[in-house]
Amino acid sequence: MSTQNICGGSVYTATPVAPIELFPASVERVFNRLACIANDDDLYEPGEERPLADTIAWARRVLLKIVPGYYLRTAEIDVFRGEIHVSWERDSRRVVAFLPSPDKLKIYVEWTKLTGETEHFLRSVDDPRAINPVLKWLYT
Amino acid sequence: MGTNPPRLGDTLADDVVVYRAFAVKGYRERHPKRVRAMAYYRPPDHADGISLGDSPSSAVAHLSRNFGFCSVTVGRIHGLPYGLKVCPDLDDPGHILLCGVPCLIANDDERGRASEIANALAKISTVESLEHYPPQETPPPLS
Repeated sequence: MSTQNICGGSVYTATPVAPIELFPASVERVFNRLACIANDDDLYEPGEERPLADTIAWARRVLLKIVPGYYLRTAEIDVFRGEIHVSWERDSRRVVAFLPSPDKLKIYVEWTKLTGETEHFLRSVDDPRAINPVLKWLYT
Repeated sequence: MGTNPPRLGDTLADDVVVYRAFAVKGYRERHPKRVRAMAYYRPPDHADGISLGDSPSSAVAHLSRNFGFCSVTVGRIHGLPYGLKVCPDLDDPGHILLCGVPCLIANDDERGRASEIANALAKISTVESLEHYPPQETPPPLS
């Protein structure tokens, strides 16, 4: 069976098209964007460094550790000078997972207090699952 | 952004409006229409500051393509609690530098401050156009 893959090429698979919905479309969107991110010229200034394939694979592994998966629905994927950034925003709170290179993860958390003052912290972590309690806080 | 640091003029007055070009698509969001923090991330090769313009044309002048631009008044930038300064580049008429923004790709402390400042700048900026500036005419087919 042949179908179009997300980057425009043909993919051959032994399974029928969409037998089971593994991810809701809104979650799948994030992984699709990640898969094509190095090829989207509109995301880069001329000559700008693009993420390595290993960094993209690392980002995929990090995203797969996010539980529950519906946190991914509102995730935005960006690139900056070879880094991958995954960000979430809700009301006065903001979370960014910086993925500068394979196996490197920095979690940035920002919030605005009732006084209007903004605070933040940034932590380098080894285990991608460290982002789950932060996203739980974001959605609380 | 040359090897010699630019000569900067005095800090601009608070009522001046400055413009930031969207060099890549990720600098802005279409739905809802807003400027994203990325638009104010300073990379290491822009040591002098973030480039702005005194007009939309000046903002996009050094770009081979763009995805629109936003505006912000200098007073709102100076009003942020980060000690930022907006100064004209005396060597390049129309070019303005936003000075004092930390580099994003640096140590964790600087990256954290850069993220907060970029988000604050994005929040006070107003999207003026989401399309290439100046507008480009599409010739009719078969012309």
